[in-house]
Amino acid sequence: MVWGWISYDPALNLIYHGTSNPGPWNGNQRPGDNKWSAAIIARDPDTGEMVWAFQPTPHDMWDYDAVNENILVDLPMSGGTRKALVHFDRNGFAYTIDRATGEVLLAQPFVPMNWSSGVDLKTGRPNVNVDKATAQGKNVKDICPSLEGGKNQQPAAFSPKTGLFYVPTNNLCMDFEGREVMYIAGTPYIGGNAPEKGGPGGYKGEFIAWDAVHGKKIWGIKEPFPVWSGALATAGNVVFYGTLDGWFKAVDATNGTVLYQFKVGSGIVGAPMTYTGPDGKQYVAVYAGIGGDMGLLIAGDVAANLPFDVRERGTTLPDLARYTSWGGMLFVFSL
Amino acid sequence: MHIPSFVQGMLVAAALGGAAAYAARQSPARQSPPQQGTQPTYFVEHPDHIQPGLARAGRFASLVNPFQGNAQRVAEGSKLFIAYNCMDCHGADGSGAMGPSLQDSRWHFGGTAGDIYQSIYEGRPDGMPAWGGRIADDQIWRLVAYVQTLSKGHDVATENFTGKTIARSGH
Repeated sequence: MVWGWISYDPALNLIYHGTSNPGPWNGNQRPGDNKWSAAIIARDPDTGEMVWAFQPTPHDMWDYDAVNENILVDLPMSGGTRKALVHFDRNGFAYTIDRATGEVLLAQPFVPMNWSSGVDLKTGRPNVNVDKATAQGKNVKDICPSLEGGKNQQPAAFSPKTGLFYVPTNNLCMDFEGREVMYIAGTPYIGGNAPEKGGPGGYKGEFIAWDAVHGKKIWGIKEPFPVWSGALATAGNVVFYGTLDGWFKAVDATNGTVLYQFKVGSGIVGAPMTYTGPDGKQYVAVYAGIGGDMGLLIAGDVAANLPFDVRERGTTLPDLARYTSWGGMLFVFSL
Repeated sequence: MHIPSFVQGMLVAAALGGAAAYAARQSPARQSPPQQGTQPTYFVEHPDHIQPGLARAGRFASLVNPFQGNAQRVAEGSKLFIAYNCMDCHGADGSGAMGPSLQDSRWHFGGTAGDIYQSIYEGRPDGMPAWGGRIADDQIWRLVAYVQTLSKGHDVATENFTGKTIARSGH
């Protein structure tokens, strides 16, 4: 299934999109690579023809979709400038890819991970750690990252000023038990139980600056909860992001120093944006209103103020409801 | 469609036992009304409940579950809850996921046996599929019997539904 972001390069006349994980989660019910699920695909927009495709996670067994955004930038790689596509996959690897050919130039972990020891750049295939391969009827413990991915669908930002990517990430792990499932139209086709937990180090998210030329983290700000907002990079060398506990932060793009933070009315899962108002002033706006996987599915009692749907706390984020409540507010800041 | 063996067994049982449940559904007028007061339910008014010419609780309200309190049928219902993918929306043990919690004793569409039967049989807005005609009536009653065992009480704090946190996953 295709969902998420689509990027377009007018010079190459190619669009780029991701595809989701194969169903069901239980890999024993679907042998083979399951092409082209969990893939990045380049297409000719005039004909729809697939020009190239790359599968970060062949035969996905962990619910690692490849639907995260594909950011198109020209990067000074060794050997000259390359038309690159940079993609922070759910599987925990950051890929720098030649967007004309699909050649994988670089693949490095950007979050704690243990399901794979690395990517073979010749084939693009990950070396799977057999201890973390999931199977029907087997409960595999402590797989990192969790099915939310090292990063979920909240988009990263690129600053031409610093040449760095600013990436909201998760530090979550999971247990995974594959389960036989019947396909029944109108019902979820899941076939697995995958309770999530915090990853190593005692934090559950980190906002990082990433060098996609060398495949390394430059700085990071650890957060108690997964970082589930988009990122915004500005010409003033300031980057913005928000947290699930409702902090909106302005950060020095070069070194990660927090310059300003403001507690908004709810957890931030939207993307900050900036614009020039009719008065000629520059504004930064962010939507505050928790929801999605973190607010609705995982935390549990964040949803407890719905009168007909009260839930126990979830193990993954048991205290989130003590830091935020439901929202739906637009906050606008002037510079 | 591959059907797990225990479900096949229940489908046979359904063929044998379906007649009684069918009769129960066809003649609601001759059935005793649900026992009010024995299990308090907390009903949230909703425009979807309004049906032309019918009382609020709808035409299924007076049905009686032939498996009420039957531990074996409840256990079978718990397996059907997984086999028919109910768990993947309502969460393990009905703890809530994409679909609402079934543990909180708060019923969007009513919590009597007949109300829950109707929710399963006809489906509900925002994602609950209609199972009537797709699975046997006595399988629906097994599910009703199971779902009714999940409630923890409307005045219990969420921390104390089970006294622990619930392991959930997103998608």
